[in-house]
Amino acid sequence: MILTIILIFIKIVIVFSVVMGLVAYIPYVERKLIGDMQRRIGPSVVGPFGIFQPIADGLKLLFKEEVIPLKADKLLFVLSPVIVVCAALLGICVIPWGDYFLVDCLGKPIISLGYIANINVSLLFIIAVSSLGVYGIVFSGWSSNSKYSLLGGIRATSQLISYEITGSVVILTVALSAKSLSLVEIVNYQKSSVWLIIPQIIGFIIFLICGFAETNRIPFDLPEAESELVSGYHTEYSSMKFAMFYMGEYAHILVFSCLIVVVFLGGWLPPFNIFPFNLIPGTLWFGLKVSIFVLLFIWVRATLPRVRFDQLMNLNWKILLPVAFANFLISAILVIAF
Amino acid sequence: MPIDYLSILIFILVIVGFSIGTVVISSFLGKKRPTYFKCMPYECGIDPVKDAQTKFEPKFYLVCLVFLLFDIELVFLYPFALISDNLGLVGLIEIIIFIFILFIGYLFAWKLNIFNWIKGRSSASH
Amino acid sequence: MLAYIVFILSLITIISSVFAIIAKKPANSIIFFLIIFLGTAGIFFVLQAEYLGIIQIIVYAGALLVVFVFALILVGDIPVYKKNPLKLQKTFSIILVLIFITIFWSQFGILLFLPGASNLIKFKEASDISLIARLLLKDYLLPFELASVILLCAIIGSLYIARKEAD
Repeated sequence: MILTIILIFIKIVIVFSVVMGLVAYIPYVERKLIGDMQRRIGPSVVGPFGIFQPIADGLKLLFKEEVIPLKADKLLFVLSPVIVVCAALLGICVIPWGDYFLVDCLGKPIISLGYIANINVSLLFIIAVSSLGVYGIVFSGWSSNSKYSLLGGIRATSQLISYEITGSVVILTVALSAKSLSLVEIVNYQKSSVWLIIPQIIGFIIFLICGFAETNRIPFDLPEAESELVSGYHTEYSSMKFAMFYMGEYAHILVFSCLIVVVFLGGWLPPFNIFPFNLIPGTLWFGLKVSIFVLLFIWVRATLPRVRFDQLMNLNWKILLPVAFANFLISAILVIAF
Repeated sequence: MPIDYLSILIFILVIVGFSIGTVVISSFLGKKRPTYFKCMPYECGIDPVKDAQTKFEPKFYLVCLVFLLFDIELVFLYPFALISDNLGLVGLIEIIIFIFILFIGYLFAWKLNIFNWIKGRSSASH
Repeated sequence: MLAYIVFILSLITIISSVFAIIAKKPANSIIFFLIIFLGTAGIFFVLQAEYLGIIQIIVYAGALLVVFVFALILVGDIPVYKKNPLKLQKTFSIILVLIFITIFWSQFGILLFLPGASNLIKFKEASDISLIARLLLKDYLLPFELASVILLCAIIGSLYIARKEAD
């Protein structure tokens, strides 16, 4: 028992370090890529190709002065970044990235090396914990007692809860097709059938749009619209607490990319289960697919302008939600008919 | 299954410890020299006008209420998704009735202009 | 092991309920409310009622409380009372909570630490979502459809009242 706990702890620490490393380096890749797309160099001073830039940034922010506004609600002001980071990172613990097991000498599996936890409701678990991130955002906006923060916080909350509904309807449709709410089971279903992106292409597109809105990224970064709201709900934040909002955003992008890969693109499965493809280990396929989505987030940021708030709300409530429900009903009819 | 929940518990402890630790460490490392002007809420350089925590557009609250409706509706639909095979046509009809009844609520919200964010324009123009 | 986790979670839940009542600022009450809901969800998880635990998080912690937060922001600056006008209620509620803890502990808490207690806390039925689904969609069909009617009434009523106030 103690041995198992120690093994689990070691596994979690390794996964956590890898995730934090990725979260630190996605902004670097983003700055470098957007620099290239806009014919700039991007970070290039710290180390070769500016490769140590994230470390330098992190250390710099760690030693910066921490300003708490006079009228701020201190407890909530300090608590909000903690909630944001926790809610964004917690989703990682149910994402499967392979199907490997650590076996004892008798060949009995002790712990899995393909996921941290596999529960029956892991799909809902991700929705549930990411919906808790709303509190970090709304309280950071409210407790700062600054008008820009409050507007950003309210906007962000409305946006998050609206798109959460549409995303949940798509998740529901996926659960209907795969007959399970467990991510491992969904990948196994896709192994025996086809990747869910083929029957659920409408759901995939809606879910992708929801992902952009849920992570507050361009074209839906209304809460942080720097041309009108300075920087939205984290206007008053400084030092490491400021960095934690960014940590939360990039962790959210990572978790979302993992989720969409597992749900629609077959997780660790190779595209075709034939000779040259199935030699590559599953985790590598998983990493490849996830990086495609992370790069998509960056590419879209370099390409699209920001939408207006009324357009954002109209898109969700008047177009995406009815379409998602229609998609659900049609899928239900098809599933029951065949 | 207990092992999985144990893993989630350990994971929660690790990330909560990490994030609280980061906040605490940075508050010790950074120097602190607060001045009155530094701690003023940012308002483009001028003195803040009035308190920020005042009233705002109630439409956000109405959207929140509609969100609550759909969130509870979805909770009823997840169990259906898992056993839809088993239920067959009867289950499908039940679910269609269920969604139809709540669709009335959605139409009502639309009629009240809750999804319409441009002032002075009716929902008919969309 | 399981018993200790249930014990710690219920302790956290009860203590934060007390704080949710006596907190001076409404915003702090909401944070304690959040802890209550998460603690309850944790207890559901320990009892292997996964779906109920998830519902507890999605509906109560993720949706219902957001409405509270919005109401708090909408009302704006709520005056913080120097002297709590609900002094009697406060004392009364603390006494009630203490009585409740005593009853809980003497009836149920001791039971948790007896040998074989882990067999006691098992809701195998509740862990199976398809069983819930079968009950909901086959046995209790009429209440299921009535739930949608109730939800409809709730949403129309609340939107109508809120809309009237807003105009």
